[in-house]
Amino acid sequence: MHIATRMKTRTQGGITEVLILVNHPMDTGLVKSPLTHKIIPAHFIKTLTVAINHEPAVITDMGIAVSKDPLIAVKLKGAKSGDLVSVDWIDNEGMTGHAETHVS
Amino acid sequence: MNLPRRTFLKQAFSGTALAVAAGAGLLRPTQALARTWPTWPAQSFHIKHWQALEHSLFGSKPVVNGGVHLHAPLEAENGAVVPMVISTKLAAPKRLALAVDHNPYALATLVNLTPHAVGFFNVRIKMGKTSRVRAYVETADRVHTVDRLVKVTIGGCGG
Repeated sequence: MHIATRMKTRTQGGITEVLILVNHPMDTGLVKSPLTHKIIPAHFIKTLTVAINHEPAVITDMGIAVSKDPLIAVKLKGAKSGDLVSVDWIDNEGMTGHAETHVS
Repeated sequence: MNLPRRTFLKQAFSGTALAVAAGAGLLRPTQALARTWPTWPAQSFHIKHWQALEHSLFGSKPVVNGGVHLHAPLEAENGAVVPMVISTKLAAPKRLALAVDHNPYALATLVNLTPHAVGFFNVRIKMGKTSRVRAYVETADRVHTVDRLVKVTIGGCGG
């Protein structure tokens, strides 16, 4: 299974907003499948890190309460045009995802 | 009729396309492997009650009302997707936290900020039922908090 990670940045007045979308199921481990009546095992992103020029800026720890297909926005300051913004995440099954973009 | 054969061919081709796509996808995450991951605070994410959570996260730091803004809907039609925005104008926020009183586990997300970041976080969360949602901002010497009651019409946390 490949999980898509997408990212977009928008700079205004010295503040760069980073918008992140990960197509992750974020299964809680508390829900029964309507088809099999078995619990769907927990599968969720644990940590998502946003970095600027490879230096971590925001490190987010998540629980099962974050919605399916997490859409997250953070804001960075002092980012200059051409700076590399990257996002990395890891879930409870050890799957990882990565996306990067340059500040326009 | 020729239909089954047609269908078979179509499926065979789309199957190949998928396999190629998966192959390409599998190559990419290797870049991330070299990275060291901070430890996920498992204990905090297993606390059921918000007061116990507050104590566990912030210890004896004084908790004061205000200084943080939580933008949440008054009423959420779908508890599976409830948008939340935490923002603060306080200087040098260190951590942001979002907790839901009546969820199976109170803590939804815990955000560590560095000086590169602004005190802002936007996320969509699941809510099992109508509940108070609490936002926290931790600075060097105290914790600022605000709460909002969010009415949920259809729950999003199992059951």
